[in-house]
Amino acid sequence: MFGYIVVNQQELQLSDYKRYRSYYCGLCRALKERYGIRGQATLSFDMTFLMILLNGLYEPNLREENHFCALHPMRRHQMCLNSISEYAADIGILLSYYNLMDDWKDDKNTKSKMLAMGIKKYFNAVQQHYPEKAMAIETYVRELASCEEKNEMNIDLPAGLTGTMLAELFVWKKDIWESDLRKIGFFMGKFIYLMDAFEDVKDDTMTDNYNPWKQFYKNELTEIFEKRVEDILILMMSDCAQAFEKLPIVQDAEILRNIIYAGVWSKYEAVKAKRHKEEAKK
Amino acid sequence: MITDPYRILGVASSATDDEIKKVYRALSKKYHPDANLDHQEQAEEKFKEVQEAYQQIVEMRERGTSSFGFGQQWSADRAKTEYGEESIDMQAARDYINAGYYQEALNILNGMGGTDQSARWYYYSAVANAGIGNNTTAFDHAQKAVALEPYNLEYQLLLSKLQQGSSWYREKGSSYGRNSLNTNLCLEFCCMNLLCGCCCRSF
Repeated sequence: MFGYIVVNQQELQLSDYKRYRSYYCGLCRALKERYGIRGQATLSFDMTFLMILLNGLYEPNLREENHFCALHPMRRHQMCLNSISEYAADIGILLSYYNLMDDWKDDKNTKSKMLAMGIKKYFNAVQQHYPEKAMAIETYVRELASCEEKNEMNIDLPAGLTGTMLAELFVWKKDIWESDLRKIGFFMGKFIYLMDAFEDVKDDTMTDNYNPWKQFYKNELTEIFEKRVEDILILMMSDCAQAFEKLPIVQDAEILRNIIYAGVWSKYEAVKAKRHKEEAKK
Repeated sequence: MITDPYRILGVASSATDDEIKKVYRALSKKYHPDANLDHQEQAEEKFKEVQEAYQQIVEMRERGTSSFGFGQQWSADRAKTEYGEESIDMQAARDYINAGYYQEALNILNGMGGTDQSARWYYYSAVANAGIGNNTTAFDHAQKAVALEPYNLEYQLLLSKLQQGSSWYREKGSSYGRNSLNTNLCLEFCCMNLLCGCCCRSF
């Protein structure tokens, strides 16, 4: 479903890149420690972003460890871990489970069902621990389904559902920073939803599935349609970025800015390029 | 309310946003209750004061102009008399907006069933939508208000406020290589996945 919240590696300094990787590997480690190899399969860049964001805001102590990694047994990998990686790991399990079940429901994908069953036990445990987070995802799944049924054409509405869900997941602690964290999550969630819909719009038009971009995709020239999408996506990210800049984050701020101002566009550019190539072939 | 938040942080009011963030970090470390086990209570008080001072500065700067972002405080001004009296619905919508009840304002505006297609309706709708995070609709309606009454300064201001955020974001993006992004990156991400050695799937 997602996976858009990545770094723009070309512009990232080597030291920052190494740091980013050690967070990523730390999350992977936390997943392995808590949920074994099945948990590890839920590793994502999106949760890595959340981890770096919360670490920057709260600056709790980080354990820096070196471990061998199953797939790369030749050398040790540096990893950063603490209670925030555990939180990110738990949230990743919740999201993965719902996402896999969604694939199963939509496409009768048995592989998804099997993977979901594999993490069901962990999902139950996390759900008990964070009932309000699990509830936020559940509400989102339900309300999105009704939005699709109604064929909602106002793009703010379905996108806002993803936003509301992510806003809840971004709140690690209820304190003075809550409202800005919610804003970051909300607009990033809207961005993710609209980006995902943009990626699928061609297929959804052919199969006549719900997609809020379809009304424009069908009736507008490619350049005009893409300009519209880009302007709206920028609107989302600029509100997200404004909330981010309000937080007192210094640690790893350059990594976070690299993601917020550039990295999140990687997939958009890739989708656009792929589509242009396909069109040129015709 | 702290009378002089800059004094609490010990910085000049001309300090940059970055400087203020750094000072905040240093002070919050110093007064963190966990780091002051001997006199936890006083430390906590001071810790909270530092947090409040920081937030207050952010809010003050938000209202002015600074890279901290742009005003998120939305309000609607009373219709000038030259446009005639507003209907009761429109007055109620305006009151709700000014009290920060954006959803309630929208309920009224949308409940009018399209009887009012005036620039002012679009203007209120834009403000209320912005207030609840419906930024696409807000932008769209602000544009409509300006199109209907191009010389209304209030509408122009709202639209430019909404546009300002986008151009600020674009500018920042260019310093992080947003413009040079290309599809080769995709390949690099795959490589990075391999390097990190975990079968990464998006959630």
